[in-house]
Amino acid sequence: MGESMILLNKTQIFGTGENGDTKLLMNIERDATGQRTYQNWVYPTDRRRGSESATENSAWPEIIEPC
Amino acid sequence: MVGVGGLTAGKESSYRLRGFYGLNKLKLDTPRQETAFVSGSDDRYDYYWFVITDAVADPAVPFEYQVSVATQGGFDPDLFVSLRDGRSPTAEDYDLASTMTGADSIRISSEDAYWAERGWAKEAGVVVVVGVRYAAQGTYTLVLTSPETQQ
Repeated sequence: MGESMILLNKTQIFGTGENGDTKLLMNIERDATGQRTYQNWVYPTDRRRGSESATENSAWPEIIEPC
Repeated sequence: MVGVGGLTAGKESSYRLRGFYGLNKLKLDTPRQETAFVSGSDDRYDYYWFVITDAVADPAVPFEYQVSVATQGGFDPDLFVSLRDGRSPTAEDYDLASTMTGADSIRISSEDAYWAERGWAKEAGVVVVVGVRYAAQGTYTLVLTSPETQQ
């Protein structure tokens, strides 16, 4: 088990009806901490992602433990 | 950088995103002694978390975890637990609780009936958030154990 975790909980908050499914993507930025003007953020996409969690079940959570 | 992508065309997808950090992570068989500070008259909560992944690869794999809090003297903390959705449990909103005088303990087992009753899938991974409630100043010891590791 890692030391940190991102949880995507799929839950109907304000809408009605069946909730759509979602997936969780993540990129880790190296050497970003301590730099006040860090600008090289790599936004995660289907083509550029370090980790992905997609259970393809709208009732299940997505969990990524980065490190 | 974290991204969330929609997978269902033509439907709204609601979600709640939460990050957990290592300082408050409960580690198996690693007791942690904490000092509780209270200001004012309201109850206060300390929160901890861990993830149960035993059944992810195989839903038939059993698991059992026990979260326990012990104290000395008249200090009387209580335990509250939320399962799966990552919310911070309180006395008004929790899945499991132990509010006895003195020490408290909560068992989380794959054999518990609420998994089937609530339609919860253990194989999806189970995020557990533990809340320790107290109303006075004191010291408590919190520990996560599992019979599987103590054999």
